[in-house]
Amino acid sequence: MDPVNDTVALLQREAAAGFPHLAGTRLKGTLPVKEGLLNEALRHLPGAPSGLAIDVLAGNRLVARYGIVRATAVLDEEVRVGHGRPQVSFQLASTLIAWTLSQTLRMPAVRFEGRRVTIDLGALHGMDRYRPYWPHLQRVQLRTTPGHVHVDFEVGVT
Amino acid sequence: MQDWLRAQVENGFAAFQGASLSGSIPVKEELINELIAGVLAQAGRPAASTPPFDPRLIVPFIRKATVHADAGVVTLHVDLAIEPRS
Repeated sequence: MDPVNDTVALLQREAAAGFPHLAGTRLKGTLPVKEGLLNEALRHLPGAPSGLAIDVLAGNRLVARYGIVRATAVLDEEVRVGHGRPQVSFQLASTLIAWTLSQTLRMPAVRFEGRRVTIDLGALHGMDRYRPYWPHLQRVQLRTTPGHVHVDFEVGVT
Repeated sequence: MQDWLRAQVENGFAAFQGASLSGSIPVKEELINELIAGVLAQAGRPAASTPPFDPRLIVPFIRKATVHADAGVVTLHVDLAIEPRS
């Protein structure tokens, strides 16, 4: 018996079936994500330009660095959930950079509307495996402190 | 994923300092019985090549845990926190 392997296997079976034996579950929590982890994920993201890095500042501000270019953005506090896949949005400070990125960054998961950028997390490479979990996300909020994005979440299985 | 999770547990969830989780998980008896059947089925089999997980590793992160039994359901109430290291 290995509780880690058994619990993960059990959760995967439950998730695939819509968590029939865990109905009524209510969980809330906070997950601090380090800037380094975000940048590591960025490096492994197919389609993301090599050398792109993110600095996380306070007040939901992010700075994307690519060569000599610095792009400041403000991350939306609310992550859109409850419609299938979660979507994260942010607003770039510069119209010029937003236009340039929209012309160069060709990723189906990323949508540009002027300075506003929305990332469909479920459409990112490798995220499809988490599809069974999306419907149970009831609320996700993002806030930042220097070097960290804090993910506040609520999960509910109905 | 199992290997990654095992590594996180064994290094004290170093990547998740400051994380917290609380709530209730009602577990239906069918699932509990499935878990018990799994344990019994593995009893007496040769040990796996990886060393068994030591449940004591997660004890420091449990702030509170209680269970409430009802007809056909056992509800686990948990409050977990991974305190930031100073």
